[in-house]
Amino acid sequence: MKMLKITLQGKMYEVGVEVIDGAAPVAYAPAAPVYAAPAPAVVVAPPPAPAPVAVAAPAPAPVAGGHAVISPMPGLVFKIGVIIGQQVAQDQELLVLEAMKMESPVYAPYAGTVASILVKQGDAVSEGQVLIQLS
Amino acid sequence: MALRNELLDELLARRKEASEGGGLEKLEKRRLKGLLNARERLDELYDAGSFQESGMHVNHDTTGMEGKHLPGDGVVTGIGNVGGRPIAAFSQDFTVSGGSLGRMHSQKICDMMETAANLGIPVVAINDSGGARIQEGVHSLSGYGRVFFRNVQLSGLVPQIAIIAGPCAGGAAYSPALMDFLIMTRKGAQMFICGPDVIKAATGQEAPIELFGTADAHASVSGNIHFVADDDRQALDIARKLLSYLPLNNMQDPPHRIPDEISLISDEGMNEVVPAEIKTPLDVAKVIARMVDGGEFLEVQRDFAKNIVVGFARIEGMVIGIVANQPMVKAGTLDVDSSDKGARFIRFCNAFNVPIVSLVDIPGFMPGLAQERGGIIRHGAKMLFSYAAATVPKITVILRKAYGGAYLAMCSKDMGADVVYAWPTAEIAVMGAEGAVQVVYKRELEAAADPKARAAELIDQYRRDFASPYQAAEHGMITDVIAPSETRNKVAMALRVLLTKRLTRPPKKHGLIPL
Repeated sequence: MKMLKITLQGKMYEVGVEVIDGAAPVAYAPAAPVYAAPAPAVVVAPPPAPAPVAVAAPAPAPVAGGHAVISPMPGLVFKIGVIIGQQVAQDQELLVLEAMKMESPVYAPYAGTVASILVKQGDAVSEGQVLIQLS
Repeated sequence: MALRNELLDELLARRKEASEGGGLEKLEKRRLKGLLNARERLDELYDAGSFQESGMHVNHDTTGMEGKHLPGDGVVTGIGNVGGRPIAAFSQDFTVSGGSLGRMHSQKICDMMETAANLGIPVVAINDSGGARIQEGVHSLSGYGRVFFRNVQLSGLVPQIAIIAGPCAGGAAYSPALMDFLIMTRKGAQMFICGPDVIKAATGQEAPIELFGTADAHASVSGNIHFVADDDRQALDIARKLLSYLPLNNMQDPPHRIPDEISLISDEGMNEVVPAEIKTPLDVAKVIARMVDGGEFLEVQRDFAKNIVVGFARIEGMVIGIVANQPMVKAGTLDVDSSDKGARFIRFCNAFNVPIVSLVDIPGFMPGLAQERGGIIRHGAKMLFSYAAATVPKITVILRKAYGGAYLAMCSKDMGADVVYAWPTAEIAVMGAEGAVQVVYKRELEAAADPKARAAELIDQYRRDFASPYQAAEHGMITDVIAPSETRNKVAMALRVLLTKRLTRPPKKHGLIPL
């Protein structure tokens, strides 16, 4: 039994796949969806004069196996700005999509290391597709 | 005969007891957790010494709890000043029977809301309650219904702001949901219809609260709230800030601070904000920051549907609501969520006489199966509906792209904009040059020796001819073409003359916005 992670319309599912000798994989049992952790929300209002407000949002609980960086919309991979193993800071540009004739940068939701890059330049990607895994 | 001292003593004793809510011990516990109590929250909201309480001596009338005293029946209500203007508020006291809503509790809230409607003053609702008071059965349920009913009667009459500062579960969540703006604290606040246990029992689904019931989840995923605050103090500060942009009621103008003279300083830096390469997205946050007084912009729903930016600001002292496409996110397209977010904000502005400034840089509605299946037709229609129905001053500035139906959905002249400005970088067209050339010159391209090169030529030509502001300008679809550096000045001048705008339409019960 192999465990795979599959993302469908933005939701990540852990799926068990059993490979029977020579034959195609047959068993798949969608488990409860493992949601990607929500982006940390940032405080909206201008800070009140005396009170310290720059309190960072609590870090969202990490999803087992790292954070998936997901395509926000359908488009083409225009350029990839990072390599596997690279350390990235939160909000650093990871890659740029081209969609609707516009370049759309995709930023790191968290600081981390680039564990895998699942697309290459020129690939067509759909909304919710995992582009990069951070660990 | 002089007043007997014991009468005054009793009054003071009663006041003291009421002010201590569920008792000093419980209040101290909250303090240690970093939470303000119900009265401290009102003190924080209001200008010092301005609070006038009503109903301090109210007690519960729960059958079977006759011996027990619940100070104020778990809620503090009254009127005080925010920035010198009267605002009604209620603040639920979690230390009194868990802030549970009983009959008298709900009556106090309803009385306060009726007073607010009669006086024409906003309502701030500070929610911190365990829910219905089960001992009161249907009286408690009925209490919620009476509050909801009044929320709806007040809607569009006076601004209603809810602060979620503690638990707000089940039916209780619908009173805030019926109000105009929801502010939620990260500390101690939760809001949901069904909690993790109920979801688990009913569906077997594991549903950790962080995924759906916290301030961050509501701000970024469900879009149920408008502002996130770290704690009580910040939440109340946001409420004060928000009120500073709003009129007291729908018959007043918002608090413009109009100077005798407006200064017209050219902002050369605005020219620098526009990227040279047309595919490089413009950051509309920078445009807004340069346009508004002091760079001060109170962004609403900042973490939700970020492809549209909405919020309040002032230009030369005049309060405005800004609706702007954000090309940095999803290319600035309108999708289901951003349409809902934009339309709701436009309708609020219209209800409370806040002029709307729309900043347009939009390549279209977002394409995709999920969008079509999600009802982008119905949701996108809300933008068209809200703009066309709005009678407040409407100023539209087309920064770059303004394509197709999305151009109309961002308040073109046809949708009732009073003034439409376009930067020289504006591309107003039925569709993007690349797509248009493929349709218009299909045959010619098929016949060309080098279709790619010919397409590039035609795209250039199309862009020159059609995707500039001048074609629209020649046909009177825009008021003027302006340099980016002139934006603030032109908008300020236009606003000054639009403040007297009067537009009446035939009376009807209400339009039928496609919900």
